[in-house]
Amino acid sequence: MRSFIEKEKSTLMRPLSQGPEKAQLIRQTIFDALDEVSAALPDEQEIERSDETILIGASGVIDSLKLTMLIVSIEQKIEDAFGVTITLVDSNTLSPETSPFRQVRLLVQYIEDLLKAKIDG
Amino acid sequence: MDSPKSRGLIISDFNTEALSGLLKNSPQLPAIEAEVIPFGQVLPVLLERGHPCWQKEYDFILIWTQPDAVINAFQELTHFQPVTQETILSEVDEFAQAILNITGHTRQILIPTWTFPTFSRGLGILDVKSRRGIANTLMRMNLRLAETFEEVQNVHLLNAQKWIESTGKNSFNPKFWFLSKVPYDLQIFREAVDEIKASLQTIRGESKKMIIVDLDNTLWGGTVGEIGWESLILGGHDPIGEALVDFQKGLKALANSGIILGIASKNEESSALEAIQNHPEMVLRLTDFAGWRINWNDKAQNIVDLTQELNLGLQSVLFIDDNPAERARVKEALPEVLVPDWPEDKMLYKKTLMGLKCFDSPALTAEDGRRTQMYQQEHQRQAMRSRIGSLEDWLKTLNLRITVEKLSEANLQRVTQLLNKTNQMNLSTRRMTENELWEWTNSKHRKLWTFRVADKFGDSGLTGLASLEINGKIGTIVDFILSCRVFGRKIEEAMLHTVLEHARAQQLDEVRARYIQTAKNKPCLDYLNTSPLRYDPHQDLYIGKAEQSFALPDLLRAAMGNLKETET
Repeated sequence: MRSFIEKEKSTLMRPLSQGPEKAQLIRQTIFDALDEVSAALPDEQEIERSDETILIGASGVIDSLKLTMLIVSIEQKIEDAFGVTITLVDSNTLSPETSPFRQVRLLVQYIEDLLKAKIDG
Repeated sequence: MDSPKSRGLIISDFNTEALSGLLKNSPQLPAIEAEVIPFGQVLPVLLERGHPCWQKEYDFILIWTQPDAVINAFQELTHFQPVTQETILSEVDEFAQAILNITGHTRQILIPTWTFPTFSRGLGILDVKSRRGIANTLMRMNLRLAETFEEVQNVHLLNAQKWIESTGKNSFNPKFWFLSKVPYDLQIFREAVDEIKASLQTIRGESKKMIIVDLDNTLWGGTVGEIGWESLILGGHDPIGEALVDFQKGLKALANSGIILGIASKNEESSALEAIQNHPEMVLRLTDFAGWRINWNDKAQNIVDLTQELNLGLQSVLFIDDNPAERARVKEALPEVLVPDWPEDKMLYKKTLMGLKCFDSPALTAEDGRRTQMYQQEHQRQAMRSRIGSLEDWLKTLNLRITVEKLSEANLQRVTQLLNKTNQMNLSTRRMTENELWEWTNSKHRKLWTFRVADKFGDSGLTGLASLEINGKIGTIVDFILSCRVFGRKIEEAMLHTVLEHARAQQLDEVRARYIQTAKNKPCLDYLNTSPLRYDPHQDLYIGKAEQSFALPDLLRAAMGNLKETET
């Protein structure tokens, strides 16, 4: 059951973060988290801020440590931005075949779906 | 800025790859390249002399551990098993001893203090009070480390608790731990990077030595030239007034720790000095400032003039001004001067000042607490010099006394500080730890002299250092260092005389000196070019024949009258 504050936050956030606006905010959050992760990488491995960036898999740009950093950072930033706690770690998200971390575009969609389920119940 | 890259090694019981990346990518100086030992091997690495890492040379080693990972008895305590604090502290001693055993393998060892997850409540209300409490025990463990390393000059404890407090509730992240064996949030690593870099700068002698402050709306509220000192906002029952008094107290505290204070202000000098002398709430008085430039000239020029008067390099200076335009002007004109962004809100002045990480000192010596006093004495000397025409006449009136001493355990700390902090009159600008310097002098082929300087205005303390390395019939001056505080009193002549006299007594053929240029040591070159040593461009050396006596001026002969007595 959601707390009173959680409900209030989600009510307040809803008008500001519908549809394309919400996707853009999520994308920005992911890019900010990618910048944080880049800062802890050697310079030549800087991660491109693009929908098309492939994060994990054969041509992915981040290893397991960086993936962890990215997950934790995104979860915190989403909580700050939307007032909703999400969990990005489960067997699907860590599987190379099904993980939304395969590409930034997939991750935006995945988080959007998670938020929709949380906020809209 | 000529700040060479530092090579480091990280030994930890958790994953520090991200820390290594952040150390490398942070733009803050010094640049760092840090190798990481695979995590979880702290004690095996520390105890195994044959480990490959000990074959390499590192500028620093960072040993960052979690207390429950390296102190088994503490881990038992966290599970509320019966274990005494004596047992835990005994394990702490063993851990500390393992670190002491590697102090000779590196220049510096940095150890973040032990912390414990903030989400753990331990014994709750008893956790701090009881000897079985986690918080109580952790404090004693950290204190034990501090006591053990107190006298070890190249082991430094970094206060990791500050990083935890600064980061807040997300400091410890179980998710990170379970996924990657990183116990902390990345922000903790960023805080650690700042602290590690600030510590290395301190150790290299790159800390700031002087703060130059503006007056109006910086030391006090209001413009003294317009409203008079009686109406300034300072102290009293006023939040801004109280905040400015507090800011002055912060500056005074830094002065007590050896930082020199100066003033650069656009004002009528008479009205500004009147305010400093007469306002009842002023914490800082004229005696707290080593010098000032209060006029309508360009502040950048005033800062240059003031530092020249005090024989300080611009890289030693931090400038504080409430006016963004003045800050921008100084930043642009004098890039060596550190000009921090300054808050508009005066109630944040002290917080901003005390948060600056550029004033640390790796060791505190008796000279530090008397530094402003020494500069004021220098001010008096210069004032007298301007009244007395010739340099010789002025020096005669000073009643100069120079005492030559060997390196000893008693002066080792101060000598190392002088070696590592002096930039201008410095022949080779080599930087060494106390251990390295002690080891270096521990050879019959090497000789090191220290010079204490005093005159009728006061004692400047141990301010000079010269060393000679003898190879056959050739003596090479390795260090020739003089604090800027005693420039212009011919002390350098007394130092060179001491070296050459020793060379003559040892029947050497010649004495050589190789000047190693840095961005800051031109004063040393200027002296060498006027010294009895002759420059040989083919060998790029300054050379003096040892049999030639270097006649010492009479007044220096008198000043060094006690040479033989103290050198034994």
